[in-house]
Amino acid sequence: MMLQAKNMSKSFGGVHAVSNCSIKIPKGKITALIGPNGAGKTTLFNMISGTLPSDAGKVSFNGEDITTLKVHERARKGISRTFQMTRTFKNMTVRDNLKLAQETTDDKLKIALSKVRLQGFLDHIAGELSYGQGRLLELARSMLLPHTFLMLDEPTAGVNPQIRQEMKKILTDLRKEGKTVLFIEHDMDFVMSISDHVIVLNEGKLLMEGTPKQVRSNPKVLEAYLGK
Amino acid sequence: MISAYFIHLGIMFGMYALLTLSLNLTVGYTGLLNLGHIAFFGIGAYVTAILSPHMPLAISIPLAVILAAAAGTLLALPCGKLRGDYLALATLGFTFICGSIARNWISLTRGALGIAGIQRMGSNTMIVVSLLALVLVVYLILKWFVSTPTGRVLQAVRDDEVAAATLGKDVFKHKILCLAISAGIAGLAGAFYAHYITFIDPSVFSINELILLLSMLIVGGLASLEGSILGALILVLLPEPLRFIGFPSSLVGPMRAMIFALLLLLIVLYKPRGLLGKVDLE
Repeated sequence: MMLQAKNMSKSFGGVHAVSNCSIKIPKGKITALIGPNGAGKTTLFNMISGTLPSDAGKVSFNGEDITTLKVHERARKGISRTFQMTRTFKNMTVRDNLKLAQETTDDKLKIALSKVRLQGFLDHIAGELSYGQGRLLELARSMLLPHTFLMLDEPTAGVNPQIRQEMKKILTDLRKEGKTVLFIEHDMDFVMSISDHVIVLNEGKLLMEGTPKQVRSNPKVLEAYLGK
Repeated sequence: MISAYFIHLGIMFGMYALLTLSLNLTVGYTGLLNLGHIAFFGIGAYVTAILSPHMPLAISIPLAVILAAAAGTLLALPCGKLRGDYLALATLGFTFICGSIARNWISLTRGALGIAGIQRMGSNTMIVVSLLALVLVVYLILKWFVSTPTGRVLQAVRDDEVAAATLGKDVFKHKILCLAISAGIAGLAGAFYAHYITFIDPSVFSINELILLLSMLIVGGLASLEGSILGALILVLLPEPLRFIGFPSSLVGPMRAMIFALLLLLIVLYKPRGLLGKVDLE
């Protein structure tokens, strides 16, 4: 297993966003984390990457307990991520945004940008990009950061269908390189077409996990999404 | 006489330029609203004023810089997790604490009487030349520093410290580094001040000086070192014509404050990034 999160819990006031939830992320696979709005997907995501402290639970990465590690220490272990609301460094150029992930040559940065169809934007100020371009820049930045585990929070939100197809290719290429990907997504066609493993959350708890086919045919999942 | 006046203006400009350049590193480049900056200036001034009777200036001034930088580090330790208004309040409190120590540790600082007869650094011409050379050196070093990978991290911390951390950057360590460098430069300006004026008292920690510094920063613009120099130049020179108009001295002070307020108002309304600023005031 690449990553294991055991008995994770998080409450905001009286609201239990995630309660006693355990998940396992297989190595070298693409895993989707799905569930209706408010299921606790992003909260769990944030607890795994360390940007949100958990109330309880334990996170292991490559067999090492990383529960007490800070965000930057987890990143240095090889965990890279994007956010639901894009977080680029808006006053800095695209070049500087990327160089923060990896100090490298302009040629390599241009290759990273061409993967997300942002070639030619190297000298643009990140804050002047459109919403979709900002998401792509964040994706390019997260891929440029040396990592073995990539976490993407709704990567296709706000990007056009062409880029969505491109993103499928990017993710499958990452799988071929032996990288592990965990992503949150609402686009079920995208999830079912690309994932090896799907984890379903509902009301802060693990509802089920399995292959896309198993998840699609599970009545509990349908009920969680559509109601009784 | 005229040349002595311009030399004085040059010295004032040099000191404020050093202070504004270093303040821009914390506020403009790293996004830390540090209202403790004037305290580092005061610490630098007091350290060298107290030590210089016992040792050469070549030792007391570097010690002033080191102790001011150490104070910056100490301030960063408890304040490193704070941002925005909370950081501003905590660092302002630090300024008040330093002023209070200067007033009440009478055996060391002579309290409100201040320290008089501080050794002069040299002739005023020598001071202005060395100070302006120092401004150039500090400007060039900071210009280089903000373009290094470390400088880039500081700017990333300003824009989004959570995102910076997810890229493996130790945000806390970088904040400490930034405050230490900035405080050291402010301490250097303070040391020059003490050896030029030859007298210091707890008023070096005054809030008025802090407001003047912030005004220079805002007028010049955040995240622009050239802007810091320009802001210092404008606000040092702007009130000077009042001396020659013949207003009663009781009016000159309030008029100076009114001119600054008007300038700030115009800047905020029509040029919110300041004259050469690269980021918005938030």
